[in-house]
Amino acid sequence: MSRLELYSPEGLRVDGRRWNELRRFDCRINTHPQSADGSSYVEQGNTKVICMVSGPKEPSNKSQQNSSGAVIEFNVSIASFSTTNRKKRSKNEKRTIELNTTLERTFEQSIIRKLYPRTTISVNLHVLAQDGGLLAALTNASTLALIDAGISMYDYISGISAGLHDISPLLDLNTLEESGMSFLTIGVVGNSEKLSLLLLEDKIPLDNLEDLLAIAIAGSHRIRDLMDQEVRRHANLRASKLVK
Amino acid sequence: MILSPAERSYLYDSLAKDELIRPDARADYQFRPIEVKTSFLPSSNGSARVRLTDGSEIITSIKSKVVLAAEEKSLIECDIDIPGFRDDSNFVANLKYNMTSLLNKSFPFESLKLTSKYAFKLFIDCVVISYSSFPLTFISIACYLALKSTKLPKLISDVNDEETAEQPLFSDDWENAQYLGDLNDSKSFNPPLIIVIGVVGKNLLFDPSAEEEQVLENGIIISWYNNDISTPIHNLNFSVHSNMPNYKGLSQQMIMKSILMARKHCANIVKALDQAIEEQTDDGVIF
Amino acid sequence: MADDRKRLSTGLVVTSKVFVSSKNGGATKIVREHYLRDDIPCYSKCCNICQLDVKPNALGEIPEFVLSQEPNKLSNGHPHYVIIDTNIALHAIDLLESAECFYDVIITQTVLDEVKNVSFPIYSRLRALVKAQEKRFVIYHNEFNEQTYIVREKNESINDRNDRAIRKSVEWYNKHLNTNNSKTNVDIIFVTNDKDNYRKAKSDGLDARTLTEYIDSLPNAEDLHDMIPQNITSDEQDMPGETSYPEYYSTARILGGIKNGTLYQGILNISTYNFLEGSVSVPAFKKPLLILGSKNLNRAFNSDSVVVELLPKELWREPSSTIVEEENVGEEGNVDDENEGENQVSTKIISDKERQLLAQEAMRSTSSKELQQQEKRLQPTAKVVAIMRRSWRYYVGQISPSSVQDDSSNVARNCFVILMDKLLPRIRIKTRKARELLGKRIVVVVDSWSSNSKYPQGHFVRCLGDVESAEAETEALLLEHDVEYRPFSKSVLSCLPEDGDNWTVENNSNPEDPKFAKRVDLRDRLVCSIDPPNCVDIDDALHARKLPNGNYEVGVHIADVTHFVRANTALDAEAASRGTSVYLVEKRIDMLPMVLGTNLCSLKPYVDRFAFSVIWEVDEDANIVKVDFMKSIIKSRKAFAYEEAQIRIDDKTQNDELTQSMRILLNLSKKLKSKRVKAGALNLASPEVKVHMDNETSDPGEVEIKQLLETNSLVEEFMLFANISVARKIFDAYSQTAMLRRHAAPPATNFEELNNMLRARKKGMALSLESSKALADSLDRCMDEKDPYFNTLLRIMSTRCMMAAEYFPSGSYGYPEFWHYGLAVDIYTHFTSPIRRYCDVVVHRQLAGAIGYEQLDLSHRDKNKMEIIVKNINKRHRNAQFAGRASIEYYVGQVMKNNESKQEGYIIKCFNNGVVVLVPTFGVEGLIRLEHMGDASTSIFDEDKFELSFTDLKGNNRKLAVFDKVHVHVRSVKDDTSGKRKAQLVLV
Repeated sequence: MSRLELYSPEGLRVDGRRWNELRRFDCRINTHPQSADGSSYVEQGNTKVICMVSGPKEPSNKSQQNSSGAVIEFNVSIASFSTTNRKKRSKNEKRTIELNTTLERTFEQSIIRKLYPRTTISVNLHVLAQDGGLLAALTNASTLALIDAGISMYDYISGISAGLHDISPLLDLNTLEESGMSFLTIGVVGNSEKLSLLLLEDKIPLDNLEDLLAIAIAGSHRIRDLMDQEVRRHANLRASKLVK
Repeated sequence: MILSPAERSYLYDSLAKDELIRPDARADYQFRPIEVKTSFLPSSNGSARVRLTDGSEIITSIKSKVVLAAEEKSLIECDIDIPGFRDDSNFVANLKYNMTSLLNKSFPFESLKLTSKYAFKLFIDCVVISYSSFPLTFISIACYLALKSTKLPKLISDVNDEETAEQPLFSDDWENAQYLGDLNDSKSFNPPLIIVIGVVGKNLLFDPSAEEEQVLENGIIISWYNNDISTPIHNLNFSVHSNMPNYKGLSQQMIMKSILMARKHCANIVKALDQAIEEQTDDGVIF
Repeated sequence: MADDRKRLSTGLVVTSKVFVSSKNGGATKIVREHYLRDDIPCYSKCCNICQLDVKPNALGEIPEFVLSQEPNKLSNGHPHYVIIDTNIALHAIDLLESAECFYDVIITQTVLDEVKNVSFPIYSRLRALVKAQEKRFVIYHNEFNEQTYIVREKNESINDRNDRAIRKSVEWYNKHLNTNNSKTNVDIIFVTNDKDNYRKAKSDGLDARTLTEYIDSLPNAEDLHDMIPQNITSDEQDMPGETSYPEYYSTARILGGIKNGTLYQGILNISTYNFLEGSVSVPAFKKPLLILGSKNLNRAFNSDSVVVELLPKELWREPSSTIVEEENVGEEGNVDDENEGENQVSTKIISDKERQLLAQEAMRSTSSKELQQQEKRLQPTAKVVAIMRRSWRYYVGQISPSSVQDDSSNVARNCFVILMDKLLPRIRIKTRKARELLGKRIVVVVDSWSSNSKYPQGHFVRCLGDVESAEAETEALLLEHDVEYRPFSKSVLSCLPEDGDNWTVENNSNPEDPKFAKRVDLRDRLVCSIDPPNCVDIDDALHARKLPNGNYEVGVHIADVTHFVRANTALDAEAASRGTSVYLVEKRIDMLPMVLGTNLCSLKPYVDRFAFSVIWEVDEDANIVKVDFMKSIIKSRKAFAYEEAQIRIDDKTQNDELTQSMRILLNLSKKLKSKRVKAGALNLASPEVKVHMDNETSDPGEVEIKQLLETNSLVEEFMLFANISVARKIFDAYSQTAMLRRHAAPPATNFEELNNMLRARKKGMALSLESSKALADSLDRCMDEKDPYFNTLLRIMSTRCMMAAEYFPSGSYGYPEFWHYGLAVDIYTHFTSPIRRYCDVVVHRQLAGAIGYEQLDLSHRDKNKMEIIVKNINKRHRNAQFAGRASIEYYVGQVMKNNESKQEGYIIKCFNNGVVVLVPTFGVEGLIRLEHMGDASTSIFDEDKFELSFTDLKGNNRKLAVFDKVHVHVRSVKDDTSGKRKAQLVLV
């Protein structure tokens, strides 16, 4: 029962942030050069996600082949130790399948699939720790890993969660906050205001939806900038090694 | 990756020689270099990551739970997760069985006891992010490192609750949590290890790589605990993806030889691991 | 990983907080992020820099700087701000709220969190103080400020760390304001009663003072001294060798015990007739566990949430058939000693296994029916081993004259306060003004009850006035029943329409307004209202007319309160908190400001008014053909009193349309009533009396029992009819959160004793509980030809066995549980009195949402929020009923003061040392002790026959039993010690 002041009248949240502040965002790409074609590691607050992309490659089932474009496969594996209380998860848990499908649908539009017909691109995500904003972190990690793998995309998809506390919108929620209010997760295409992903599982009054989306989109743009920064940093590093 | 017959024969010959030559120029008792990191998962009591240069990676986490000792069969539960394999597949089940019997046999369970009724139960979860050769050794190394860096909360309520039931109460300061090793009465706390040995002709190879595995005649696993050999000890067919076409029976001399080899070199392995833990920087960043 | 801070590009610093939670016996490692910042304002108007860097909150609001630029001065002339420690907030909250002291107070986040963990109500009061802004309280988030964040050192206890954090904040404020940052220098005073913190603060160079020292340094110190709570400073408090209560068990032991079933948690109920006997209802046992004697009660108050442990079987007892009252317990506690012998405290140490066996035996003895024959009334007894939650609140009482010392010195001395609530012990307070306060009603608060003190320790809050003065008694009553009676605040009044009393429908009919367009104009209907005489807040009005097709159109129109009381306004919050209007004999505490209740909302005659209408089409037999709900405009033609309406209907010469419609209503109401009775509606009587006040002197003149006319029934039937129709509609629209009212069927055990009494004393009579119809029929059958009043008496006694009806959100129960036992309907709510009940306000809003008139506010669609609302209105409803009854009791007592008389009475309870008699004329109950009736030594008490026989004062043999009619002299007598006025009955 949340007896905590999730958003105090003085404008501070339970971890000291204000309503429109992101948590610590840290990311790396190309973390597993040998075991995957593209890889990334994302930390949003205490949520830690590893992503490994392999592909485009030949599909294991001939039946899975699609001659018009690549088949994208997402595989999220949430470690049983990722939450405060250990919970053993089966591979076919509904929640996991739902995450997979959501991510597949999100990236289907952004990856230029027609460039890779009759191939499979499989994205494997490992969740090591969860503290709120899971889907957003998975989205961000996938974006980075796909970029690292050199798979053509139209733009970045940056994800963030935002919630409504009474009538105040709050950006980037941690677990405590997620359990105490309705929240949504969005995935924004690059610097535009177009959404590739919008997931809302509770109820939010329509009048407040606009404000909530506004701050969430702003937050996503900041995430996109941070991701872009890391990609360029890494690229420069690689490039510097080529040039003598 | 599949070897051609020529490659295979070449490899076999060089490994079967008296003065064996390994493709990566290792000695017969040498392990591949590993990179080690511990205590990076904030919500776990202990965690470790082991990475090899070929990209193999294993993450292990240890979480504790307070249980009524009478209701639990074992105070340690080990779980292994390899993406791409079902939990009930032979491969995973085999690994789990080996790790579980290793730990149940050779572990100071008294250090987990809290009061006469309650004790800590440890849940050891290994996630194999990727692997090339048979991962059992590295899984056990990861567990070793994780166990060594595990901290358990300190009990502050009464230890004697035989007559009146008391719910155990713990110090809320995490700094007061103690290492598993310190809870143990004996001076040193070294969790058990499993060493994976490949058999080629009269030679034994510690930690066979993926290519070497394909030409092995047999495989032995030996456990090491408290500065001596321990069980389980048995032979194993390492390769999962391809058959070991050279597969032959195992002579007892090879078993004895492997025991001697282990006695000679395992202490160093343990020392190296301990040193690796100490040399770490404490920044909690894993990449 | 001691202090791993990372600086982010946004300027924030993030660190982590790691701790171990021992909840549920586990040891969970909890890790949370903690962000540190440098833009937390100090909220002082003096400050030059903080105002430049303010960040707006999520709604765009900028924080207000509340701490005054010219704060109050100490007696040495220095302007000052105060920073308080946790113990001050916990123990001296009324001083903090008092208007005499404590302005410009800074509460650090550390203190706020500590208070919240210990006492959520006090935390709420602190937050209310901050919000009101009148006293200029601010919350300073020191845990998030980079400069004042403290990391716990190794082996430092959490309390020491928090103390350090608070001291650091004091230091910071001092530096921040007093080194050229501000317009004036302000003394920062740190008030703490914790000796350790005080010492360390002084050595850190801070201006630390204890509460007493701080109060002394104020200009108005004299007046405030008595309000300083006592338990924390003085050491000479504990009277050595007084008594020793057993210490409470540790938390770990309690949790372990509850988990393995050897300890039980429940609410303590002190018996009305025996002050030293309490009972705790525990789900595991069918009958409540008895707690006998002060040692076993172990300092628990009535309604405290306690943890109990079973006593060994040797100490199990029958429930007391003796009357013991607190007043008879002298200061030395004579009566205690007597009982002490009987109810020994068990000191044996027994193991958990033995406890569990004991528990099993106890369960068997409370449930099995065969055992009941053998160990007939043996009930398991228990002792209190811990208090989970205290029910302490403000208490009204009187200083006991015998406890006041005779000297006239000005030194604060201990004295006893006897409380009005006779189920509670006396409180020891320390005051200088004891002599002045004699004979006056005072408000006190309990601070603590340590194990070596015989009485709880408290302190004086304020004085209400002379005992028996109407104002003091009224205020005392309201306080005791937790009724908010202070005038409405400015923020509430600002929510009222600007026109005030000049508001008219005409000025507020805007055809452009979409909502107004949805209103139906019913001003052509012949609407009238029927209410008690001199009623000014008219909630409801009715009309009826015959339709061309032979059916009738009937309309119930209810004041459209929700048009004026909008959700999420201060007005709404205040109404929600009050929950209901409270009706005392001479006074009415309104839920809504008078301008609404008696004018704008009230359906006064001859003016247009907004209403919420339910229109039915019914046939000759009052069956519903269709029903419609709408917001409307009506014009009441006349406001009748019940008698007036009855006369008009009965007058055959009156045949105008209005009278005809009233007759239609009367006929239909009779049909509705007979339908209800057939379905099993209960008709229970309660001794409702009305006190007539003398118009001139406003002294109570006469007491009258309320008589029911046909017109009373008319209104009542249609109100029920409306409530039921509305209930169905809102449940249909909001199946999870509709506000409904239910009445659970009484369990058979409630009626056990009454049926036993009937079986013993009245052959052939029994009450059947199979259904409400069965009960109603069996009640009808219990007639005594010799005494027609007996049936009414039985109904009154049955009412007491009933369960209370309660409000609930529809998602909390399944449909079968919606049943209202008393009314015999499947679904019910309260819709018809929104002026005086908050439940009806919620129902109006939900109905408006259901018919599409306007969007229903979120708070009435959220199950959790509805649970909170419901809990409060149930509590307020109960309190209002008790307050009303207590007010009647008081005034009846005053009437009896002037008129001593001989009355008829009926015995409703029998003990071995007295009887309880009900006097129907006055509606009062009184206890008559055996020693006042006759020779106690000759008494024989037959429990099974509920009969007490003795030799009376005149030497005759008397036999008294339940249901007997007796004659008594009724006198009103005031007890000097407690100031209570009681009806004293003397058997003739």
